[in-house]
Amino acid sequence: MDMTEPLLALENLSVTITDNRGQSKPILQGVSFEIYPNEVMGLVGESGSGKSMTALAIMGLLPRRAKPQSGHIWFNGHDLLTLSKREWYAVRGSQLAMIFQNPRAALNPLMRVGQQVARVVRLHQSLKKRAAYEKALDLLQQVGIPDSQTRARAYPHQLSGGMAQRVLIAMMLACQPRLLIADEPTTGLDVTIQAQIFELIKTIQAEFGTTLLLITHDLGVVSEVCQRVAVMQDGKIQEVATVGELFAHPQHPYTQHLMNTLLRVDRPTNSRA
Amino acid sequence: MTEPILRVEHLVKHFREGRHTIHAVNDVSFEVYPGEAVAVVGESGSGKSTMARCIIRLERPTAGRIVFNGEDITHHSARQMRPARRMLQMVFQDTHESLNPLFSVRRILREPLILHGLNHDKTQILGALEKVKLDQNHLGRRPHQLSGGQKQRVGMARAMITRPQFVVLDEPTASLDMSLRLQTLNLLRELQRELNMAYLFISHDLSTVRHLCDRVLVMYLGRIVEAGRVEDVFDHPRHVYTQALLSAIPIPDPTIQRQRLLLSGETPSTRQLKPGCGLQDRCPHVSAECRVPIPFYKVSDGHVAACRLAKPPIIEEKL
Repeated sequence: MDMTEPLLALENLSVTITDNRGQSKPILQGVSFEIYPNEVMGLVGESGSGKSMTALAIMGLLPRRAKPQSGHIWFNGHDLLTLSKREWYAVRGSQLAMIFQNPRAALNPLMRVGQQVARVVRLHQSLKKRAAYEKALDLLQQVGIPDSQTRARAYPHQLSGGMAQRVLIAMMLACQPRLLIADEPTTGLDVTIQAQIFELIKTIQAEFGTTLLLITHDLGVVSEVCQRVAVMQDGKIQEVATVGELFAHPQHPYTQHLMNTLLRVDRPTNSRA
Repeated sequence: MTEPILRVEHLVKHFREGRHTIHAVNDVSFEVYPGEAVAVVGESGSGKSTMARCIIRLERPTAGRIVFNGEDITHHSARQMRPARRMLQMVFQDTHESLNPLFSVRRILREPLILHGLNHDKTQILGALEKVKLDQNHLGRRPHQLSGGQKQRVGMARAMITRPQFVVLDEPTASLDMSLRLQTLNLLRELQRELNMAYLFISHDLSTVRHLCDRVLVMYLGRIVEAGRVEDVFDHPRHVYTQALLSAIPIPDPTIQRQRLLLSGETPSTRQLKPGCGLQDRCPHVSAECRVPIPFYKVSDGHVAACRLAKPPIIEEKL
């Protein structure tokens, strides 16, 4: 193992969720993995495997019914699980940021998008309103929104899914977080738009040295974007490996099973039966 | 030569939206032969779902002709459509909305049999359930008591129970997890072989298409831009849009390095239709030729593309 300290380390994290009838069941069981500075880490699994819950736990955004039972989330020498609400304000956004699967739902539907980006700018940099708006326009341009002056005056419902995701990425740029969590950022977008968004994320990652945790169900995306990957099933991490290792020598039976279900667009499938 | 089971000729579907017209499907023609699986691929706004809905006559086409089994069904009323519906079924994308929540699985499957005056005893229904790998324990359940994959299979059983010759499948695997997706596809193959059905498989998932289908039609802005056998189109795409679409799909193999063809911008609005190629505002190879209507150029047997780059080189004839 190399000598760098991990930026984020999950240590034996267990979370349970309580349903209406007061019955609780585990949703994360002893989850441990590390993310190192400047890397792109993938977290894959099928629906219900607990990958989004892991992200919410890191962000301190677990639903009220979900309670961490044991474990630690180490970031910057602090255990995020022990932060108070006030302490979270200093971390969320400026240190840790997240973009979501449904970008339009993450935006305020009643506010023009330029204003929303400007607000985030003002929260993190001490700028006057006017200057913050100028900065917001800059950011919208940086994330490849054409005619950003006009688009900044649009409301979220007037934007396509791809454009809305770009707006969220612009907000994230305003914060300059050390770790960005992207939860299925292109699910529901067309593939040509997905390719554009990943190109943008890669450029930003290279330019600003942002560390990225990418949550996805698509091993194709993992293969093209990530350096290391953790495989999740039923709230447990089944395998952590470099992308090259995972595809060449999957160790866990579940990973092997996933590899066997892959369909490729570039060649006929052998497993036709 | 066998007769096609479905012939679509110059199909057009426009919608009114206030003062605007949405040009959803613009002059689409193709044929489907018995027992063959034809894919229609394209991104949102390509018109693929609208086209499918026109074919099974859930929508009334604006112009063009739809001939099913030798019968022109373009202007059939709902009553006139009924006999044809036995042979022409559809599996919908949203299983949650396409199954009656108040009906048990038994009733969902019995309904089409009664409607078409077919034998509807228990053995028929159980037989259909078995084909989709469900059993009699599921008969009494209602849709909300089934998982997503099970609902999808009930939808398939309902479509196949009248032994149709032709089934339209609208994104049947879109909401399924990886392992379930493969299972569903293999099941569709099995059923197709067993009942000798033709499929029209509407999808944006090209990996799935490669696994299931014989031929593929690529749609963009309501037009077919490229068509051919799956191997020909996927291995030698000639339209710039097909090339971009294929190169945008991530391949789960880190040992492969690919050149990606990125299109700029997004799919334009279908409110205004420009003459010529639909891709003209996004294409890196655009020229004046692309702004006038482009014919289909033949690439190889059965493989055509409406792109100037697919034009065969002009060979100067010697006098």
